[in-house]
Amino acid sequence: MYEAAGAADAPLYVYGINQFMTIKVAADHGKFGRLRYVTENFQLLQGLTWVAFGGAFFLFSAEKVPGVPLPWLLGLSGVGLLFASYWYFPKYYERRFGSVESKTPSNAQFLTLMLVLLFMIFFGRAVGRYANSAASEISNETHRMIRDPDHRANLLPVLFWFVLLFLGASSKSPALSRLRVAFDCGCLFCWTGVLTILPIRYPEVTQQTLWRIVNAGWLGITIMLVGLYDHVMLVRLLPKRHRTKDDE
Amino acid sequence: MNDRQNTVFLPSRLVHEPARLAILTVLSSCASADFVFLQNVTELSKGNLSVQLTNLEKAGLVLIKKEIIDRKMRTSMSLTKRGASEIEAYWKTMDAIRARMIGQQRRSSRRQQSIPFRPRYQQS
Repeated sequence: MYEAAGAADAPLYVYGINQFMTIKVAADHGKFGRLRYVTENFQLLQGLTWVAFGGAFFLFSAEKVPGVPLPWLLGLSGVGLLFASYWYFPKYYERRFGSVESKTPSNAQFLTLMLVLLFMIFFGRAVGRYANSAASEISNETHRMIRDPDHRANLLPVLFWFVLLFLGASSKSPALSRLRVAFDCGCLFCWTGVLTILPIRYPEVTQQTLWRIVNAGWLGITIMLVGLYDHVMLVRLLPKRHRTKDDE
Repeated sequence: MNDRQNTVFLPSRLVHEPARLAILTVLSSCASADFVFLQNVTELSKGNLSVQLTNLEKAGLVLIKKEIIDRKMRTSMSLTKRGASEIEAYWKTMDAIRARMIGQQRRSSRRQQSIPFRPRYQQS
């Protein structure tokens, strides 16, 4: 360990310990923040896995919509996508980016999880009954407020994207957070337009098969969009390296 | 202000190097990582990464494990307890230095004058 006396009035640069690195570079939290972010969230950022899973979810929802042609084909494609999300994409990411073993949860986190599970086992039904009635009351009230007593508008995607927007805004990395907030805002406006405002202004749109499919499969489409965003983010954070002589 | 208040502890030479610091930062954020991931995330060449890892292993900061999975050699790295405490101490030192320097900059901008820096290194 080295000590530099009289540094109270020092400028930012401290040479001597290493000519090629200054304290300013070492304290560059942006670069090291990126390293930490990618490593900690590597499993979550494997977006194509989520795209395939969301696609399967969308197809399973779409096959139940009346009037959809060849529903059995949609179901079969959904099963194919599920297999791809479980078998193919994790191996693809391992081949391309390598693999990381996440940190095991701490004792406190494990204890919290166990307490939540125990609570749900003993009080889950009561909480569920209360939550159901409260949710339906809130839903009825909200639909009355937006002059939609027939419940044509779907408010769940809006609520869901609000939650995602909040999570994106509270991200640790400000640069990543700004992009995420912009993406979430875009998706929130689109979903609000298509599934909330459109059926209130033009009620006849709810009779169309395309709108019904989108309305039924909004969660699948949402998972696909988030997955696609995460994949693009991962590719930007870990760009493909050009091979050097040293690599051979 | 006395000498003790003016003292800034500088971090260890082994950790305070961009490539090694990047490797240790990545490994401190996970249980273990393989060679390919480390190479991608740190953007180092194979040779450079290999040399830095060997140095860190010799210093007892990193544990290198080689195993054969599906007839392929897989090299995975993890931090030792000493490595984890070294990198934690490093970032604490850096944060302290940064906080102190921000304070100095504010003070010096108030005074509107610069005082030359004369570092004095002592091996403890």
